[in-house]
Formats: sequence, C-alpha cells, structure tokens
Amino acid sequence: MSSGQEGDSERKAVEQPRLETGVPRLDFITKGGLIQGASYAVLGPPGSGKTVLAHQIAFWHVKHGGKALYVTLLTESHARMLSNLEAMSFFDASVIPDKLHYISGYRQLETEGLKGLLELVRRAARQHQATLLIMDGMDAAKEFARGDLTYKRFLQELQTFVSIIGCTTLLLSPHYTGEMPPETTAVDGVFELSLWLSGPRAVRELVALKFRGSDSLLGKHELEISDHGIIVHPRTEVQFSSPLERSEGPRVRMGFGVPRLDESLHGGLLSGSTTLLLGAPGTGKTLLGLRFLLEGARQGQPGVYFGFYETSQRLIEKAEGVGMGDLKKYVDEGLIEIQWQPPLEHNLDALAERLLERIHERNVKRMRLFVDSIAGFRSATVYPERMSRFFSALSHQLRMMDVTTLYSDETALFSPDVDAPQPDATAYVENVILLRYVELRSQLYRLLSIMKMRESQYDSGIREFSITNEGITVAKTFESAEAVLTGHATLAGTPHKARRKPPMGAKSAKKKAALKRTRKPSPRRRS
Amino acid sequence: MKTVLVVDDEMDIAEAVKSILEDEGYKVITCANGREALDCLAEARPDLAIIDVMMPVMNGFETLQAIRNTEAFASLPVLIMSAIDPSVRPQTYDWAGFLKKPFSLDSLLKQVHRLAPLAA
Repeated sequence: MSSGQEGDSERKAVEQPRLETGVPRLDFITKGGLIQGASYAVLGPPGSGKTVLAHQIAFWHVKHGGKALYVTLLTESHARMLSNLEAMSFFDASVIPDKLHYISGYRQLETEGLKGLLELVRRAARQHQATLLIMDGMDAAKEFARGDLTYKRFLQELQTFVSIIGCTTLLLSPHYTGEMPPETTAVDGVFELSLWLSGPRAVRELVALKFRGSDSLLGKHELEISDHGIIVHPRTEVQFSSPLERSEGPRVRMGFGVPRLDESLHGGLLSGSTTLLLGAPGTGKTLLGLRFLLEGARQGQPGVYFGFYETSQRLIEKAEGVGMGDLKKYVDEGLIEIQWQPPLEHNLDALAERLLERIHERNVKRMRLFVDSIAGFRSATVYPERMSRFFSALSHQLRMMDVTTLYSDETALFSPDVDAPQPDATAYVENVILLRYVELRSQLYRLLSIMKMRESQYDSGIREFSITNEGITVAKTFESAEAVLTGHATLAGTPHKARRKPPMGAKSAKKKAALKRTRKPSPRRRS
Repeated sequence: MKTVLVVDDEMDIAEAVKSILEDEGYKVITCANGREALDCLAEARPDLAIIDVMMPVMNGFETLQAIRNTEAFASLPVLIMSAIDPSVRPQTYDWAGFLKKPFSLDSLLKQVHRLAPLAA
C-alpha cells in the first residue's frame, strides 16, 4: 500500500470546461458557454421560450458529440412537444432517441416522491451517458417537496450528482417576474425569460441573473424567437463596453463634394468621426447624407446607407433628380451599399448588430456610413432611457472601426428653438451640422450651419443651402439678414422693434385668442 | 460482490457516490462521520473505504488512524477525498489513494476499480 501519492490532482483551479449552447450570442453573454457539470435554472412564464431554448441547446449539443437526456414532469406530452418543435430549423429527428433521449419522471415523482425522481434521473443519466440533462416542469417537483428546504435539498443532491458525472443541467420552471423561487439560490446560474407588452408590441427578454464561476454580462437582453430558434441580442452598451479594434493610420478629411460646405469644414469631416445632421423635415438631410456617400465613392471610398424610410429604388430616383445620377452606378458596383430596414417592429440591439456585422463583413478601410435616421433606432427601443448609452457605445465602436458616420435626426418643422429630439446626442458626436428653414421677405430659405466640430477648426457662418436639379449648393453667409438661426430672419439695419417679427401666422393666432378671451357668451347660446 | 464504505457528512456526496457505485455493481454503505464508520466496520467488512477529511465527531485522518490501529482492518485500502491535497500535511498517513473534491466520474471510478477491482 502506498502513501497517498496516487491522488487525483488533474482537476486544478484552471479555466472550467464550457458547453456551447449554439444559441446565437448566449455564449457571448456567459463569456464562453455554460460551465460543464453546472446546473442552471431557466425560469419564465408560459410561452416565453423555455422549451425552445432548452431544445435548441440540446440539439446543438448532440450534433457536436454530446448526449442529452430530457426529463419531463407534468408538461405537454413528448409527442406534442416534438410536433411543436418540428418546424424549427435546428430540429433533427434522427438523433432521437439515441442521442437525445426523453423520459417522463412524473409517475416516479407521484409514487416515490423526490427521492424516487432523483434515483430515476441518476440511473437514466448514467445509462444514457448524458452530458446534458434537461428537467422540464420543475414546478411539479417543487409542489411535491411541500417546502423550500426539501426542494433545495433535492436540488443539492441532484447538483452534486450531475457535477460528478460532468453533466450540465437545465432546470425549467414556470415563473412570473417578481417572485424569487428557491432554486435561484441553489443553482449555479439563473436565466429568466420574460414576455411582456410595450403598447401593442410583445417584448421578449432574457435576464441573466446569476452566473457562478465566470464573468458574464448580467442584466436584461432582448431575444427573438424565429423558425431558427432563439437569438439573443445583448445590450449594445455592455456588448461594446471595451471595443477591441483600433483606428489605424493618420486621419484624413472626408468631404461632401459641396465646395462652400467643405471649405467651412476645413476640407471635410475627420475620418473616424461621428456627425449629427440635424434638421427639420424636408430640409435635405437625406440628400446631403447621400452626397457624402457619393463623394466618398467618387474617391474610391466605400459607403453604407443604413436607413429606415426609403427603399434603394426611391433613394436612387431621388438622387437622380438632384444631379447625383451616378449614385446608381456606385450602388450597382457595390461601392455604396443601401441597407434598408423595412418598416417593421425592430429590436434596438438587433439593428446595431446588423449594422456592425455588415461593416465588419465588408472589412474595408475609410468607410463612410450614413444612418438615416436616429429616429429609426429610437422607435425600436422599449427603454428610451437607454438611448444615450446605446448611441455612445455604438458611436464609439464605429469610431474604433475607422468608420466616418453621419447620423440624421429631425427637429420641429417651424420653431424658433432648435430642439434636438436626442438632446444629449451632441455629447457623443464630434460634429453637429444644422439644417433649417428661415423665413425672409415672405420667402422660405434653407440654411446650413456648423454648430460644433471637435478637434478641428470650422467656419461658423450661417449659409444658404439649396437643392436644385443641378445639385446641392451652399451659398455665402446671410450677410444681409439677422437672427436667421431663429428661423425668423430680419433684414439687417431694420429698427429693433420692427425686426422682431412674429413667426408666420402668429399674428392672426394672437388676434383670435384675444378675441376669444374678451368675447362674452351670447344670450342666444346660453339658451 | 465487493463492498465499499463511503464516509462523508455531506450526504448528497455520499448518496451520489453510492448511486454511481451501485450501478457499477458494488454494495455501498454510507456513514456520516468517522465514529459511525468505525462502529459499522466489523459488520460491513468493506473491501474499500472512501473517507472525507473534514467531518464532525472524528475527522478523516483520525478515522484512518483508528482503522490502521484495528488489526482486522490494518490493511484495508482507504481512498481519502478532500478539497485540499493531504500530501501538504506534515504527518504521513497510510492511504491508498486521494480524490480531490470536486471530482469527476472518471477519476472516482478509476480509483475505485483500481483499489477494489470487480471480478471479470
């Protein structure tokens, strides 16, 4: 007999082996996948996607060499469950029952209680050499426990066993937000699925509440269920909290090809910068953004239009009408790519992923991007308070990818104030260009002014901006008028009082209001 | 049939090991501490003892020492299981193997099959 030197010392405190889930971006949240041999509670109300999630993981696992055991407790029948899943692209009948084995544990639970269920699971897991165990309908086991302590004890025994045999376990229970079920303290990780209504829109979310043994992106992440199963969309602001890519090479000027505008910008926007193109409806934001992409393409720089309102065909027609006929050529050649997001219910983070993935796939330097507009993103969020952090993270990531970005956003049609719908946007962009209407001598003019340009000098003059079938032009400054930025310009040299003209229609509105206040109700009306 | 005595105050571990070894064809007796283990040795006559170190009443090393001092079991193979490698201790004990907690199924079976091989 030796003196204890034949010990099992292979399990050192090293990186724990992981089990990939095959659920897009779920492994990103857990920073590598579920921990092998650990147990996880998957909670959520009926219809939130627990069974789909578990099956997606199971099919992926067996496809990659593992073996899975699916134990049901008072859930729908196996046949019904499988028929509901057949339409999913991950479903593969050929792996059932050899690699993915189903058993019902309810009879055992009813006749022998939790101890009997545990024994059934232990034997079946060993018999089928399961490396993934799914127990669906754990609320039945909880009810049999008749107390949290007994249930926790059952979970602990189950966990110890699965940990020894290296079998990763998912425990699925119906759950409504607000409760804190006993398994949350007993297991290694908790994923809560939720389904709720934001106005008419159904919102699905996955909340990573706990993940022992590894760093993870805890918190809420939206998810989608399609015929391909579940896709998780991690919150953009946590996903890109530490961007890895770095902008390379000296920065260059990215012009619009509009002479006076480029002069005002001292040659153009700095590459890798982000710019907010702010303006009232119809002031020409889309055309100016397209002009920016077109100018890049003429110099061989690739560009992406990421828009929500106009199709590729409509944009090309629009450009043709204002002297930008060669846009079609560059679109056909692929140098300019038009990414139109159909007017559907979008998911904020999915939009950002789509945009960034497209840019990443193109893998080109000095790319120009025109996002038309921020409002498209804003309408996709169910948490407006996230917008600032979201755009800050997205802009930072684009910057690091050396993308020169132009975001458009809309202001009110007529207002003396410039109210940006995203007031804090000016903090996360380097440059702000304002387009607006100005009323002068009973005529409406478009004006353009550069409000901010970080890391560069710029001309702050207010200039007339016009769009004709010849193209876009920027004229000299409004030297002959004053107060043009308010939208209600006055001619220079007009006496002070006379200069303060009210906006169009304001006089008659004032008159009517005064009349209303002073008018007494007529006796006829009173009767 | 070979008999294995599993001594651990953590009953979930004792029960899990029991379930696994019974499936392998062993008879398994579980005890919650060293004192209980010594009391049942004569009747159980195990072929292998798997003993946890950190236990109430009598710890794993004290239990091992007591077993060695009992003539009938002086040569009983003992597999020590612990989260801490016992070889770091200054005293030497005569154990046949060491299983570091948490352990894998493979390492458990490897050690048990080595120390108490089943008849072919």
